[in-house]
Amino acid sequence: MNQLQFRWQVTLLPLAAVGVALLVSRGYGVEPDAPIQLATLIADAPVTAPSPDVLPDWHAEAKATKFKYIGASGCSAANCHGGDALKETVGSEHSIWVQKDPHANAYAVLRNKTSARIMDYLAKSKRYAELENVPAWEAKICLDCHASASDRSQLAAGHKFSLRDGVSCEGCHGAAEQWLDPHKRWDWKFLTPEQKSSLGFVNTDDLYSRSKMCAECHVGAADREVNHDIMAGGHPRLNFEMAAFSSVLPPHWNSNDDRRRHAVSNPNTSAENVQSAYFAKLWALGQVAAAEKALELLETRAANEDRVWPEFTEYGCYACHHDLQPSAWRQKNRGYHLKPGHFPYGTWQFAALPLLTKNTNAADVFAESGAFEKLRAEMGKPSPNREEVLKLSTPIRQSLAELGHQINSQPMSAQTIKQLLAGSTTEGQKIADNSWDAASQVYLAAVATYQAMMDANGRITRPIPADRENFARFRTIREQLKFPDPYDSPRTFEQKTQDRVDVILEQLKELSEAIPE
Amino acid sequence: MLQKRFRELMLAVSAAACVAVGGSSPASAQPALKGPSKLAAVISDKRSNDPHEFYGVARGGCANCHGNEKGDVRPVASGSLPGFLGKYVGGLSNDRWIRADELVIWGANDKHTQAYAVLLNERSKQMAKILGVVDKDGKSQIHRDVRCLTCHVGMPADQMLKTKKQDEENVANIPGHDWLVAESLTQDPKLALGVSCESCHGPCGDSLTDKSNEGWCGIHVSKDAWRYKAAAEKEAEYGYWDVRSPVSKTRICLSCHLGNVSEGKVVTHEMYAAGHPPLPGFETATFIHQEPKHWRDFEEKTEEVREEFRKEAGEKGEFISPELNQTQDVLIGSVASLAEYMKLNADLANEDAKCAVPKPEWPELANFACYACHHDLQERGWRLTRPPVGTPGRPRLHEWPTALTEIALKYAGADLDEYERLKKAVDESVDRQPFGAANQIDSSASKLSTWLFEQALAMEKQPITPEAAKMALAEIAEKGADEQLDYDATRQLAWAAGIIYNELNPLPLTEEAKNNRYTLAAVPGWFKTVTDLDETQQLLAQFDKIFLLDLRKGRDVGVVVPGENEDRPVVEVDLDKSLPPIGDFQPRTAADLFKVLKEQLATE
Repeated sequence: MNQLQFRWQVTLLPLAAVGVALLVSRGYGVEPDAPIQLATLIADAPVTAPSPDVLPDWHAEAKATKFKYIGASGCSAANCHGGDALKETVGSEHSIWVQKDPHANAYAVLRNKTSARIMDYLAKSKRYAELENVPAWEAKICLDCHASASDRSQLAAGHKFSLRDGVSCEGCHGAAEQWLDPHKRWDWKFLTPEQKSSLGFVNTDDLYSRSKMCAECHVGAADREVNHDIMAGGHPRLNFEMAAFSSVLPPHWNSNDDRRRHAVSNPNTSAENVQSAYFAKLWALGQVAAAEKALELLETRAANEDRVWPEFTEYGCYACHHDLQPSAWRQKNRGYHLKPGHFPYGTWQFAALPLLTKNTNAADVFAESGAFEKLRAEMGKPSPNREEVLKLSTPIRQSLAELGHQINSQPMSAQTIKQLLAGSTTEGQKIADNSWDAASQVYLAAVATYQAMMDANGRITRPIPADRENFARFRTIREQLKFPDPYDSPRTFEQKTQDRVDVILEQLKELSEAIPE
Repeated sequence: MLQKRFRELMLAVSAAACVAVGGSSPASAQPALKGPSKLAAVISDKRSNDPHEFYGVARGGCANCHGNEKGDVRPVASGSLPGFLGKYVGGLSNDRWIRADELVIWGANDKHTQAYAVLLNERSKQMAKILGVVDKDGKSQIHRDVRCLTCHVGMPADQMLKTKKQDEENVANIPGHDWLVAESLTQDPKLALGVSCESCHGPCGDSLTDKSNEGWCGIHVSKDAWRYKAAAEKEAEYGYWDVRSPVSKTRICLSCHLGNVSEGKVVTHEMYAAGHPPLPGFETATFIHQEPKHWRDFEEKTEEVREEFRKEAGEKGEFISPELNQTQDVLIGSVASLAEYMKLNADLANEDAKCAVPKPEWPELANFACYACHHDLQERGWRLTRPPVGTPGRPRLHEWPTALTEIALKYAGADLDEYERLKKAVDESVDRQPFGAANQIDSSASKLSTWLFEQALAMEKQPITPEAAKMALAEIAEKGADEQLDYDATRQLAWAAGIIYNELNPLPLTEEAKNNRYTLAAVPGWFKTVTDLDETQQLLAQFDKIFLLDLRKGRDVGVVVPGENEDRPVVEVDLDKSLPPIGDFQPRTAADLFKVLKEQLATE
C-alpha cells in the first residue's frame, strides 16, 4: 500500500507546483468538498516571468470597448475577492491570481530582454517604423494580450485600471463598468447568462465561452495576433490546448463546480463521488474553440490586403525550421498529402480534430479528402490565393461552430468518452506519426480523455493499479516530446525522430490495449 | 489522390503558360521580354534564345582530336579510363595549341561525366517516387525528365523534346509525361555521357531554329579559319560559347550551378524537398580550380604558339591578364554571379519570361536563402545576435552571391553608392511581403543585374595589379573577421582568400601531383596535395575544419547504366558529410580564424 501511494505521488511530481497551488489555495480539509487531485501529467510548473527592475506607475485606460475597465484593485478588498488564499478559494480569487497565476505576470514580461529584442527587430523594419522608440510595455501589438486592455485612448476617464496588473480580472471576465455594482447584489445569482453578458460579463462557467475567451489570446483573433514578424525576435510559439492549459492554471474558483455542471451521475453528491465528463468536454470544446479562432484569424488575414500573407505562424514550425538532415526521413510520406516542398498548414491546431469529429456531423470536413484537406492544399502553396482560402475556410469554421454548440449543449456520456479515448490511442497512432505537433496533440488528447474516463467512472481520486501503469506510459511519451530548452527546436526529436516516434507509437498501442473497463 | 490531381493541374497550367508564352514570341524573333530585354544589350542571351543542335561526344566526333591518350606531355595508362569511355575515344596528334587529351582528362576524373549517371542512382529513384515521375510499375523515369536533363546533360530542351514519342503507353499516366524524353534517347551516348564538351562549350550543330545559322562543329577543326577569331565572334556567329571571358564563363557554370530560367535549368524547392542535394554557393575560380584542368592557360602554351596567336589574332586576342587570372575570376566572377542571381530572380518573378521547361510557380522558394528558414530554432542561437535586416521573420535572398561583390566592385572603382541604392531596392521589394512582391522584384532585380553586368564587363578590361589583389585579400579577411554571415557566404570568403593568396604565393605541388595530371591529386584540393605550407597557408588550411571546401569529395558508388556491362563509378554528394557542418556552423569560429588571418596578412 505504501508503495502504491509513493508511486501515485511520483506520478504527480511533474505537477508538484500545480498540486501545491491547489492544495494551498483550497486549504487542507477545510471544506467538505476535498479538492480533487488532478491526474494531469502534462505541464511543468508555470513559467514565472523575470522580475523587472522597475515597474511603471501610471494608469491607462481600457481599449475602446463599449464598457470601461475598472481595474483589479477594485476587486481586491479583503471582504470581496482579496481573502486569505491559504484558507479558502471563494473570496480569495484576487489573492490567488496575484500570488500564483502567470497571467499576473503578463505585463511584466514585456520588460524583459526578449521583449526588448522583439521591439528592436520590428522597429528597424519599414513595416513597423512607427514602433521606433516604443517599448514593448507601451506597444498596442503587445498589450493586446499582455494586459487586460491595450488602448490608452480613454486614459482621461480616470479609471483605476493599471497595465501592470497584466491579464487581470477583467481580462477574462470582461470590462466591469456595468456589472461591477450588479454583481455585488443579492440578485446577481438569479440573472441569466444572457442578462449578465449584456452587461459585459463574460460567462466563464460555460466551457465553450471560456475556451473561446482563452483562445482569443492563446491562439489569436481578428484583432490580436502573434505573427511571424514578432516571433522572429524571440516570441515563443502559441501551443494552446485548453485542457492542458487549464490544468496548470491555479484555479481561483471551486473546480468541483466545473465537474458538477457536467456530471454524468448525481451532481449533488460529494465532490469525490461526482462522476463527471468535465475533462472530456473541456478538451473537446477547447479543440473546437481554438480551431475556430485559428480560422477566424486566417480569414482576417486573407481578407485584408494589408496583413502579412502568407503568415508563417499558420504552419508547422519544424516543417521549415529544421537543420537539413542527411537522413531522408522527411522525404517519406508525412501524412499531409502535400506537394513536396509545400507548407503544412495547421499542424498544431487541427491535428487532433479528426479524433474529435469522428462520428459527428463535422466528420466529413476532417476526413481524408474533406474540406479541411482542400484548405490545407491551398494553404500549402507558397502564395495561397486569399479568396480561395476565404471560400474554403468559412464553411469549416461554421461547421466547427455547430459542433461546438452541440457538444456544449448536450451531456457527454461515459460511452462517448470511452470512444474518444479509444480513438486517441488507436487512430492517434496514425496521426502521431506525422510531426512533433501532431504527436503532442495526440498525447494531450489521450491524457485529457484518459482523465475524463477516470472521472466518468469515479476513479479520479481513486486510481486503480492499471491507471498507475498507464500514467507511467504517459510519462514515457512525455519524455519523448520534451523540448531541450524553452522554445528551441526539439532537435533531438528531429534527429532521432524515428526512434522517438516508435516509442510514442508503442506506448499508445500499449495504452489502447490497457484501458481498463 | 488530391495531391496527384493538384500536381497534374499545376503542370498543365504551367505547361499551358509556357506554350502560350512560346507561341506569342517565336524563339527566332527578338523575344519581347520586359526584364531581360535591356539585359540583352549588356550580355548575350543567344545561348537560350537560339540554341544549336547538340551532337554529343562520339567516336569520329570530339574524340578524334581531343581524346588522345598520349595527349599533352605525359602519358596515361588506358587502365585509368572508365570502361564506358573507352568505347568512344580514338586518337590524333597534338599541335600544342589544344592539349589533345581533353576528353581523357574529362573522362578520367571530371565529375561532370557522372551528371547523367546520378539520375540512375538510389537518391534519384527516391526523388522520382516522391515527385511521381514513375511508370505504371513504379519504376523511376527521372532520367528522362527534361527538367533534370537540362542540367544533368545540357542538351537544349527543345532538341530533347523533339525526340519525345507522344504515344508511349507506359508513361501516359505519369504526371507531366509530356516532359519526358523518348526512351530511345536515354540509350544515346549524347545523354549517357552526362555534361560533356558541348554542355559548356555550346552545342556544335546548326541552329535548331534557323538551319542557315551554322554551328561551330565544322569550322572549328580548321585552325586558320577558327583559331584567331575573337571569342565573342565565335559565340555570336557559331554558337561556340565564350569560356575565356570571366563573365561569360561564370554565366556558363551558373546556368546549372545556380539556375537559368530561359534554358530551363531550375532546381525547384519541390526537387529539394524530394531529396535533391542543396546547391552550394558558387565561386568561379574555386569551382574551375576543382575541375581537372583539360586546357592550358595561354601562358602555359609554347612560346611559338603564343607568338603566332598574337600575330594572327592581334587586337582580338582577349586573354585579358597574363597574371592573376584566378584572382580576376574571383572578383569578376563574384560580380557576375550576383548579376546572374538577380537575373534569375527577375526571370522567376516575371511571368512573361520564357522557360524551356514547365516554369516554376512563383514564388520559387529554392531561390531564397535555404538556411534562413532551414535551421533548428535556438533561443540562444547566433542568428538572434546578428543585426536585423528588414522585417524580421521574412525569407531572405541567398547571402553567398553578395559575399564578395562589394569588395570586387570597390577594386574596380565602381560607384558603390549606386550599388547600395540598387541593392536596397531589391531588398525592399523582397521585404514587402513574405517572398516579396513579384513585379517589384522583377524590375529592381533586372536593374541591379544590368548594372552589375556592366561593371563586370568593364572589370574585364582593367586587369588587377598584385598590390590591389593583396588589398582585396586583406579586406576579405577583415570582412570575415567582422561580419556574421551564413555558412555559404562565409565559405565564399574562405574560398576567395585561398585562391587569391595562392595565386600571389604559388603552392608547391607534390611530386605525385606534378607527375600525373590525370589523378585527382593533380588538382591541389584544399592544401591537401601540397608540401611545405607557409604560415598563412597553414592558417587557410584550417578552414577545412569548418567548411566542406573540396567539393570533389563524396561517396563512391557504382551505378547501373542500362546497356553497359559494368557499373559506372560515381562520386555521390555525401550529405552525411556536407550537411552537418552547416547546422553546426558558428560564425564566431570562422570569424576568429579570419581575425588571425587578417593579422597574419598585415605582417607580410
